Amino acid sequence: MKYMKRINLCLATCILSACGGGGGGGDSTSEPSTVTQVTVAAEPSPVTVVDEPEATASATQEIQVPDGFTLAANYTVSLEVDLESVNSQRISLSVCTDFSTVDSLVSINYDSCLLKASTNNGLFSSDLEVGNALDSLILAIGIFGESSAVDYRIWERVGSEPYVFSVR
Amino acid sequence: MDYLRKVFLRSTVFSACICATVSSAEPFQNCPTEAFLVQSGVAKLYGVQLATGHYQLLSSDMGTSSKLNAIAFNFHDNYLYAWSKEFGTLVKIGTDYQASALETSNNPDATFYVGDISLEDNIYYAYRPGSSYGLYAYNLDESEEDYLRAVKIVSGDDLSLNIFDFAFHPFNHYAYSVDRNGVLHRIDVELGIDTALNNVGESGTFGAVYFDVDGHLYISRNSDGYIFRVDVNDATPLAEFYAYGPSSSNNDGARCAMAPIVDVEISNIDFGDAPDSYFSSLENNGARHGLLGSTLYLGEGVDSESDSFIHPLSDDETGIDDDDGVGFVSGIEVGEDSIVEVSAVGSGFLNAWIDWDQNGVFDTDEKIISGQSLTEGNNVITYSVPISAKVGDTWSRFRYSSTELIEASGGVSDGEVEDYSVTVTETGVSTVFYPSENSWSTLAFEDNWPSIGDYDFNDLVIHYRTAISTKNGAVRRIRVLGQVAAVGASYHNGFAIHLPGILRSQIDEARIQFTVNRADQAESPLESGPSEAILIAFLDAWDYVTPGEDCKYHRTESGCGSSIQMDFSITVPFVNAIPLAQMPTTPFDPFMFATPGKPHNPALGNNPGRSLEIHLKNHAPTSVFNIDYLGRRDDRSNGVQEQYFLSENGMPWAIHVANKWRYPKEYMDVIYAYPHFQSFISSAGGQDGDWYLEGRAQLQNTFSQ
Repeated sequence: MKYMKRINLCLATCILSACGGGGGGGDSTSEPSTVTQVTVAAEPSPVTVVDEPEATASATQEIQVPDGFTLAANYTVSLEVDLESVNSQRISLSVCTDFSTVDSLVSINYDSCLLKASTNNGLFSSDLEVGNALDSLILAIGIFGESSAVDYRIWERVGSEPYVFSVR
Repeated sequence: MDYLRKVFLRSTVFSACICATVSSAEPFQNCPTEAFLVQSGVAKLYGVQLATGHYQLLSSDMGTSSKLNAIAFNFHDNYLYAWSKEFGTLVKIGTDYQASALETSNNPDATFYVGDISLEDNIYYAYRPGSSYGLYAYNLDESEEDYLRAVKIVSGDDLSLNIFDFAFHPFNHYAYSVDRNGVLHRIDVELGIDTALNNVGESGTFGAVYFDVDGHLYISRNSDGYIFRVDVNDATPLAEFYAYGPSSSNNDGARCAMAPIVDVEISNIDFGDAPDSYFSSLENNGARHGLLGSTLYLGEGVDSESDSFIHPLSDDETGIDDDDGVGFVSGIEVGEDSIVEVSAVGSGFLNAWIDWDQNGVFDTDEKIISGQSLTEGNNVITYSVPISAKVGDTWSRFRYSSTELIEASGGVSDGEVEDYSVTVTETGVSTVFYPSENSWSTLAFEDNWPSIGDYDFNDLVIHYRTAISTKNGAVRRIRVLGQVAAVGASYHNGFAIHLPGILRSQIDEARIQFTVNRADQAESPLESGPSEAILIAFLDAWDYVTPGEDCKYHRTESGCGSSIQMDFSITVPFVNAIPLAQMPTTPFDPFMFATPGKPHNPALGNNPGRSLEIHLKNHAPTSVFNIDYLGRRDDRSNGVQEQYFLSENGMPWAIHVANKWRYPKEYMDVIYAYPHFQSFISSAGGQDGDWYLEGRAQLQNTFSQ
């Protein structure tokens, strides 16, 4: 289920969530996770080409697993929504993983949603389990009214756990 | 089929043949599926796709300056015949669409507007009510003495029908029509006797009527173009709305009655794919849209079919997902508003339904969007969920076309239909999905525990997803869904889900919903005996799946592909909502176990059954597990340190990945299918977290259909 939505450009990027230390490795620079009110990919990111690493073990049986590592497939993102001052009426919240923003168009595959929720007071929180291969999420905020509308927030994984998707 | 049975007219002596003007045009293709419709004061010929009502102009110059009527398709020579007002005689029409006059004789002083050609004998029957007219036969067989000579069968006084066209049944040699009042008539053309069958429930001027090879009569109403289908073999035939066709004050139709309504060799229709109780298939007069010349669709495209791919065989699962135009922005909560975003190409009208009472039908009062005008691009639409809506899974249908108001079934000439499975929740309930609402994660097992196996991780492969429904910080219910993706083992294995920290007594067992292959199961999946909550999805995968032809296993060997043969869904409500903090995190604790009564690893003795469990790494076994097995052979579990199901090197016997994984093919060590698996592990997940994606795979070493 995909749709395209034209949105107004707003390049205000809000760094709203903090990173923590330790955990399962990750980027040693430990930059914070970011929440972008509206993200537009004006230019493609430069691509770094690296050689594909070769498996050095001749069999999985030879691989030494670090102590305590469970091969978990996912990580946790805490969604914290506080739009109390913005929305005093019921809003819907959908967090999805498959989306694109190209030339001010947002396209979301709603089959990829991790959360479907609503709130009457603008407040909501929930933990979400996200597959390891995914590095960004989008929140679609449904605003009810005579002329309903949809607003968006984008979260990108930076740094290491704990990850917080904070929306204010 | 006895349509070639020779029939002899009971008429008297025929006069000698009068030579006719022979059309030089080629005949039509052998028994075409499209219908022909002639309209206008100066005849214009249209081709009509009865299944959708789509029509296109074939010719606006048929070589006559006046009307053609009583048009008929001749099964015997594949030409059209009609009565020409200008020429006052029969005309013959070939692929050049030019009307060539035939030199008929003994004609009454009449212009016919009712006519068709029998499939049994090569005879054109024409009818006009009134004492000066009646029913006439024109033999079209040049070898017959009465070739093209009008033979009166019965006077219009004795056969008085208020009809505007008739059509021959493909097999029984009767002509049928529906009169202005809606009465279905069956006419014995040899005897000139009419039998009024019953009122079909629709009235008006049905200027064009047709048959298909299944004996369905199609009647087209001039005033609105509606096409209705009548099963004349039914005890009480009724008109069923079938498609939105062209309207006209002057209509006459013809069709080869031996042709199916849709040519299976030609795919130019879009069908819905909801279960057929919602009217999806062609046979069931399902929702369908003509694609010929259509520029309207939802999302990024529309695919064409010759019939519906009914769920779960939806082409969205098996082919290209063209149901991509509707985004359910918000959940569907009882008594609340909800939002969809609809991406439209071309300007048209949207009609939509949700089966609120889950009775398997889109009822009239379940229409959520009616004739909503959409503009090209994205459209945000709010609809209301009734307070009476039933909580649970149901179906929705969205239809986009240039016709403003349409129903949930039947054909329309353009646009697209998209069907979606949706879930209705109580007011204020939020749902967290993993890995998402409509995608799969994968659980892959090595079943030779406690011995190290070949690490192809395909002995048992389960597609898996979960949903946790919460209100006010407490979990009301959970749902787990799965599919048996592969069985690459000779051992017989079952699959279960353990909910750590949850007691079986906390589950409202009577309200559990358990389906296998979408069929409700009478037995509860909640395992009896242990106090903890354990859900048994199946006891033996081999009870549900089969190896391919000349294959040993299910979907692991090259050339051994097949469709998914087993899926399950378990919805588990709780007696009292469980505080979220007490709820285990997804994917909970899924595990495989040995099928009771079946042999397994000899290290565990004979037939370990439920006492053998294989869990994800460091997931503790349940109380049913025989803890004496821990530490045998290659297992290095250590209960004190809460380490379970790991080898000396710390490798597990089960892994979980967050996508619909292309697992290794039979006997292929996973690192040769996914080279980055090693670096993912060696870095403790710091690198190559996406090791399991297809883009990182050596695909030739993975299983594919």
